[in-house]
Amino acid sequence: MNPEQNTASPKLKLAVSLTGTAKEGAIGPPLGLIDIGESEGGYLFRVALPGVKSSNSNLKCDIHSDGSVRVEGVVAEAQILKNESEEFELKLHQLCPAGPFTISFNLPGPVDPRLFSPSFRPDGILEVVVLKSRAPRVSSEGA
Amino acid sequence: MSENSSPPPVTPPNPTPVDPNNDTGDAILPDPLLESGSFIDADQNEAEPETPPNQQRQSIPEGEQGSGSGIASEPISVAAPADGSAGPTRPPMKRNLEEMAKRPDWLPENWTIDLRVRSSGATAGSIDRYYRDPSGKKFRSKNEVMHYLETGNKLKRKPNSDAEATPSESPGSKKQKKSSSKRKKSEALKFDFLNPPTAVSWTCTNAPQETWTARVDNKRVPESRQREWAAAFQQVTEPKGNEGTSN
Repeated sequence: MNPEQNTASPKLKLAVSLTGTAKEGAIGPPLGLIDIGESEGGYLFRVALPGVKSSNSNLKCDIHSDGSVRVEGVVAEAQILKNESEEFELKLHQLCPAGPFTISFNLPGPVDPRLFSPSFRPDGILEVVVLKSRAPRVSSEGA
Repeated sequence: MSENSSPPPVTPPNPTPVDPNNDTGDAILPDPLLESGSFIDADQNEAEPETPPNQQRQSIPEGEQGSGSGIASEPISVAAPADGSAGPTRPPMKRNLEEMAKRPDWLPENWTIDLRVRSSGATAGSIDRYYRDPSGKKFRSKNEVMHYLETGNKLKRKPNSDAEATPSESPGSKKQKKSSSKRKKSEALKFDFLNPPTAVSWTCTNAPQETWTARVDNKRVPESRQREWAAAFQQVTEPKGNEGTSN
C-alpha cells in the first residue's frame, strides 16, 4: 500500500487555502471544511460555513473554467455579544471570529462555470454542483 | 363635438354551418340544431387515429373489455328517436358501442370508460365517450386525460386553449425543474457548450428566497441569459428519454 494514504482518492490533492477569519480558528478551521464529489458529468462540492448567515452575508462563489473555486463571505457577529448589555470576552476562539473570509480550492478538472447549481442550506452548508466542461456532445444533439 | 350617437354597427351573427367532417375540432361553433346543454364532442374527430381498431382488437381480449368500461345511458335501440323528426338529418353513427368501449392503451388501468348515447336532439344516437378517474372525475378527451395525469389539474375547457402556452416566472431562481421539456430544448440550443467564459462570479442574495446572480468580467449577466444557463444545466443533467413518452 501507499504509505501516504491521507486521501481517499489519490487524484484529489486537497489544497484548500483560507484567508480572513476562516484562518483564525485556533484548532483547525471550523469554517471552510470541504468535501468534493465527482460524477460523470460534474462535480459536487460542499463547504461548511458555520456562522455565515444566508441573508446579507454577501456570499459569493467564483468559479473558474480551470476548476478553481473561491468562496467569499462574511461571518456574522455573534447574536448575543451584540445584543446583551453585558460584555463577554471569548476565551477559546475555536470558532471563527466575525469578519470576512475566503476559501479557495480546486476541483479535479475543468468546469463550465455557467453550469452551476448552488444551494446554501439553512444549516450552514453550501452545496454546489458544477458541470464539467464538455465536448459538443449535447449541443450537436439538436441538429 | 356632436351628440349624434349613431347606434354601433351591428354585425349580423355569422351562422357558420357545422361540418361534421371538419378537422379543426376545437372550435365550438353555434349549432342551431343543437340543444343548449349539448355539444359536439371534439373526440369524435380525433379518436379515430388514436385507436386504430386493428391494434385494439389484438391487444385486448374480449372478456376484459367489460371490466373497466361502464356503459351507461340507454341501450341503442331506445336511443333512436321515436318521432324520427331530427334523426335523419345526421349521418349514421360512425362507430358502434362495442368499438367505442375498447380501452385505449394510454388510459391508466384503474380508470373507466363511460359511454353515453344521446337520446334526444339533433345528434340523438351519437355516442359520447368519457373517461373517469378513480375518484369519478370526468374527462372528455385523451388531451384532457393526459393533461390531468401530467399536471394534476383539469384542463380548462376553452376553445383553442393551449396548455403549453403558460410562461413560467421566477426568473433567476434556482429551482425550475418543472418547465416543459420543449421550451427547455429551444433555450438550451442557444447555449454554446464549447466556449465557456473563464470565470463566473456567483453572488447569493436571500431576499425572498435563495437567488444567485452571475457576473462575468464584473458585468451582471442578464436574467434571460442566466435562465438559458439553467436550462442548459437541466438539459445536461436530466436523464434522456423524454421522446419515448408518447402515451
